[in-house]
Amino acid sequence: MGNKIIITPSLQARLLDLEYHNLDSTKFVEQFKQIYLEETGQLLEGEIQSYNSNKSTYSAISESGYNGTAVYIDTGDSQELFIVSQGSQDTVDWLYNIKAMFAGRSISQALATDKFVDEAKKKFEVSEDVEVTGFSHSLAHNNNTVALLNYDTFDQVYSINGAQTNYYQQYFADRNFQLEVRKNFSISSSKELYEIPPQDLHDFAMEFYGDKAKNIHQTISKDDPLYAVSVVRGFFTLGSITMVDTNPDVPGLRELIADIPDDVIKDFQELAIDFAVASNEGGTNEGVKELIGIDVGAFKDKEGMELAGHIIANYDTMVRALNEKLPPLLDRVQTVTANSNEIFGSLEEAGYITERQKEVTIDHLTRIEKSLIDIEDILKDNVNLRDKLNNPFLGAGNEIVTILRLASNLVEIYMSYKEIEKTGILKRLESIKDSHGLQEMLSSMSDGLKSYIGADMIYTSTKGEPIKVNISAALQMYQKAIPILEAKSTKISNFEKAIKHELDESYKGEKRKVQDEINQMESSPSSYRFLLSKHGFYPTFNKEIKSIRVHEIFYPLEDNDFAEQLEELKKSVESGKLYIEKYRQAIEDLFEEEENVSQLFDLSRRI
Amino acid sequence: MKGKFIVALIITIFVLGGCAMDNENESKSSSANEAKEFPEVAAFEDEFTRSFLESTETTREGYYSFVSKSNSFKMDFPQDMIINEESHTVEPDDRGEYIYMEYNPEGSKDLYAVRTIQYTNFMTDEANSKKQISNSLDLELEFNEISLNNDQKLQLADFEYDEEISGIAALISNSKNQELQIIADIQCGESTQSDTCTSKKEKEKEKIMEWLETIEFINTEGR
Repeated sequence: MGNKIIITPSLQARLLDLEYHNLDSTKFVEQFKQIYLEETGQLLEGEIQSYNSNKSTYSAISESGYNGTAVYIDTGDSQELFIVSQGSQDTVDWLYNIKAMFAGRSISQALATDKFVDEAKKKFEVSEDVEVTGFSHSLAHNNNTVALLNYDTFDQVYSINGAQTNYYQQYFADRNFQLEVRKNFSISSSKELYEIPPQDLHDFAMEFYGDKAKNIHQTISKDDPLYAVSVVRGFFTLGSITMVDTNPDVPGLRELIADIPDDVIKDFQELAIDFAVASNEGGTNEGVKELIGIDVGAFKDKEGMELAGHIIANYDTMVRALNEKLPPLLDRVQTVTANSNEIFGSLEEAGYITERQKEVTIDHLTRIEKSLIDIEDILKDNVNLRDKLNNPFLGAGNEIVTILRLASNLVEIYMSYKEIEKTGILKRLESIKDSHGLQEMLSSMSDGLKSYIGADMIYTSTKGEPIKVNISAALQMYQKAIPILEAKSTKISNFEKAIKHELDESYKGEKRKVQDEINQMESSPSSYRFLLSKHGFYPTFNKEIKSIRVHEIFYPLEDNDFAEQLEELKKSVESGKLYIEKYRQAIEDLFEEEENVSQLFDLSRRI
Repeated sequence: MKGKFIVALIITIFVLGGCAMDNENESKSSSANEAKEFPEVAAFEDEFTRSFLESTETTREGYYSFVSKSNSFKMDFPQDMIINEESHTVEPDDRGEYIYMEYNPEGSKDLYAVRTIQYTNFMTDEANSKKQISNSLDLELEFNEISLNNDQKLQLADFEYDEEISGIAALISNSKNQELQIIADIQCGESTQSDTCTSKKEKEKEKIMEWLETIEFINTEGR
């Protein structure tokens, strides 16, 4: 094997960020090379191909919900296959997978991961001894790790802020692990699994997967909410772990969560996940809609008759949505309200929320709970009555009472929600999500000279006043400007040729045609006798043309000199090139102690 | 404001007429769950397992008709087995379902046998699926194709995990990318004598073979 590809944590984070942009194959490879150059100072040379799962020849894979890109790099003396995986993309999948993960179950995404890697190997005609490395963020870590543990899909897995593996999930998914657990703990039914002390099962799992864990490498933010919930029973964290404090203003949630009982956490997680996932897609209103099934945003700015009209117009939809969403929501809300002092007290203590936010939220959550119980009772009464009377329509009186009671409770819930929202707590809690993202992780990977804004690499000069330079943008500008200027130069030369052809050549051609005609007339005047017809020429009058003499004057072509304008255009290309080189020089001067800056510019032109 | 609100509601109620709520308790047609009395067997006594069973009538002695929750496959379900609820999953868009079956722990302690079924609708390559089954057991398995009917293929591999545990692994697939990865293991109970253990295991293997042949994909148009 020749030089191995260098993998750094910031390279991983940027590749994963790139994967979320869903680029086409050419663009992905181009950006991959660019990021690799910026991060390692080296040009990734050789044959590089990429293949996205949504282009899979097996429609079954693209429809499996798996999203990832395979990148095959053949440098001539070494070959490597990288798989950059996303978690699932759409809300439904996210919701399903997160829930399934907490419950410790579904592994079908891990199966799909293995199938995609198998397909990519065949597509690139990769031999079995080529190393396969998986990069993953969030849920994809769970998929990749399960695929590595159960199917030996990867040789190495590198992850950032990953959703951890769960030993209950593994008990059902990995038969080898299951059989060993059964023998080791002498259990003879799956129910006994939950009677094994969690710590014992955790330790057994860590030991069982010890060898494979050597190939797992994780970078985790202390502030990542997924890290916080991995303290819950069932999860085990495998591999070498690098912890990073991405938000030094707060201590992270893990210790707070460790003090709260498992079942409370589970309910709170589900509430938070429903809310977070939906609000990620469509803002806070969407988040609340996901929880209670009703679009509270539509209530906004409505009062009196308008509000009543809205409730009436949507009565049927609301009742159906409530009927479906209410029972599980109520269960979860009740667990949270029963423990609200503990949950919100801890959040306040840790500086995530203020005292006022805590008090208002606890007060209004209790009111929401009361309204939800009322709504549940109303719906039950209504359904029971229908059953009893065996009639789908209970009569106006009953329906009026039902609507009135429902409407007043919905308004109460909405008012409470508005009060909670007014305190700004939702926005503050939403910021916790940022600690799960790749950009906060990248921001924390600054080291003196280097930092990140978004996924772009920034250099900060140390001479005099600090000046920040977006190196990613500078290199891309340099790399793209030269071809653009060259294209411009070609266009100018084409233009010059066009002028010559369209004006000078055409003028000469036309002149030649006229001259030929003159010559023709002068050399055979008799053939132009027909011209006399308009002067009364008839056959009986024997007249003829003996000679034609043309006194021609050809005016020269004017305003056909574009030399000056062409010169200006050519100069603009030159000054463009000069500007780009000066720009490069200025950046190099700023970072003259960094030898590689100059090299970066040179190499970037070879991407 | 409140007065107007109520008047508006009263007027509208007549327009709304019989707008009805969904009655969640709508009765289901001829499901086994409707029967007042269930057969006194483990599969029916366990409420979760019962929800998979179609009828209280046996399909043949000791077996009841089972349909998966994803409505993707059916089989004859052994009366003395139950399905683990915690591990059961059905995924959106018919992508997958996981079933974990075991003998009723309240019953005989002679054998501990588990059958797991992983259904997916995104099978790509047979060799890869067989590799996944082998890797899950950490064994090199040799599969033999034993039957071919109705576009459905059944491939089997006997395995000896160690001195205690043996079993049968199976892959059932069709041309619509549907697959079932099945692992059925057998382990003798602690109280079972080693001489009777072998014969019990053999008998269980026969049962597994019979059961495997009853598994069928449900062909749905447009799948």
